[in-house]
Amino acid sequence: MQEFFYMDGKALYVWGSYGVTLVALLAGLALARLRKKRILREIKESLEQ
Amino acid sequence: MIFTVVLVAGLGCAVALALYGMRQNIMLFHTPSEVAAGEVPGNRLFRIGGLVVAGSVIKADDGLTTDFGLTDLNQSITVRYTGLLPDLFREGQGIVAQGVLNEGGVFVAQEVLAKHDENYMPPEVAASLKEYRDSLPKSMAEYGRKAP
Amino acid sequence: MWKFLHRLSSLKYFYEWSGKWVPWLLGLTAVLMLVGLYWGLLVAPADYQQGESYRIIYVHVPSAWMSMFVYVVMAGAGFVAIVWRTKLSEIVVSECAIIGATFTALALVTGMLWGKPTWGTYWQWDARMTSELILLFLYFGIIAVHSVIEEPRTAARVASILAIIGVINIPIIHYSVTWWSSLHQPNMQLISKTPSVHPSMLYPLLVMATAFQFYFVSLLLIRMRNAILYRERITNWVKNSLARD
Repeated sequence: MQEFFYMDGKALYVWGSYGVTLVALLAGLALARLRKKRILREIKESLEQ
Repeated sequence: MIFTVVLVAGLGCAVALALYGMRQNIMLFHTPSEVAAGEVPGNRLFRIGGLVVAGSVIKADDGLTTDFGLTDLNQSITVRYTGLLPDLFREGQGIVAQGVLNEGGVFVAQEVLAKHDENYMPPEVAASLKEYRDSLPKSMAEYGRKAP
Repeated sequence: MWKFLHRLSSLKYFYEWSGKWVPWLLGLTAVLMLVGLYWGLLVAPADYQQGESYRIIYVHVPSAWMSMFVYVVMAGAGFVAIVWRTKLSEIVVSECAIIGATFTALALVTGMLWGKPTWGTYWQWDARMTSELILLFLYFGIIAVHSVIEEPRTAARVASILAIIGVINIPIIHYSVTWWSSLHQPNMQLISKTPSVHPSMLYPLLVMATAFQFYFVSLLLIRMRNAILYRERITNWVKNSLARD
């Protein structure tokens, strides 16, 4: 198990690559979700006026 | 529409011409053959690429300086480098070195980078592949090397 | 046929059917991603030359492939936008730019992280790396056009022209390692009787590449739906569909 995380001593590079990739992919989805909420709120507010 | 087509065609030609003109600069490195043919101007920093000649790696007594032969299977050149070599540096491996050619015809490198190829396989497969090749008559083994 | 295409390109119709597809696409993306990560990190063997660090291939190569694939999709949509002036294709152009820029940045960053332990350097100005960096700037240019030009239809036209011109960079990226000497490895031979990647390492790579494809389609649909909501916020169908929710 420890060997798995050690990655031949290249852990920083290997886990760094997987880390930035996952963060970027998840951030893409999260930002899109936030934008949708914002647009919906805007439309609702304009409807109430 | 016509404007777009003209714009695209024009820019395409411009890029193609620019790339053609820059051909020499886009090449990352020169080969030992080019150096032997005197095509590389001296007293200037440049990069050289090739394979590390098997059995040519000599460590100096200081433990840091390494001499090795670099070949493009046509011409060879001696490269001298002081410093830590990358993990992938080994005999038969492709490398790219940056440095200058001294009067003795030795390439004094300031940086040595390891190249790797597009082949990926587990160690067992690599070992059995090598065993298989070694078992072949020499001429066939050479042929096998060209088509792995 | 034309009637069907026309209906498909209507924003309202697109919004309705894409809403049904998104959850399934996202689910499939998650499953493929988990299978690919497990296979690539835990099942696939280490490489005979590079050892464990080669595992960066499973995020680097799919990102790099997608960076080019998304560009071709964007340029294709740009062509449709210029010739037929459909709003839907204009939206594809603007939304692809941001997703494509992300994949390109990922390909560059993971490539640098792979380069340091294998080559011995993060960066070299070789043809492959330089042309991929140019791809990132092309994406930035298209994003910039959309944010500078306020009228969305004019922005779409300019962005589409830029996208189409930039297509020339795609074959340059692909053949850069063949045409010029480079530090980057040559292209992998995958469609061949003897692929240059052993099957035990190739299959997880293909799973990851498929996962990235599904991620792209999912995020593209989600982002396009947002763009449609925003563009059509004053129309009745948007207000009505909100009232129903």
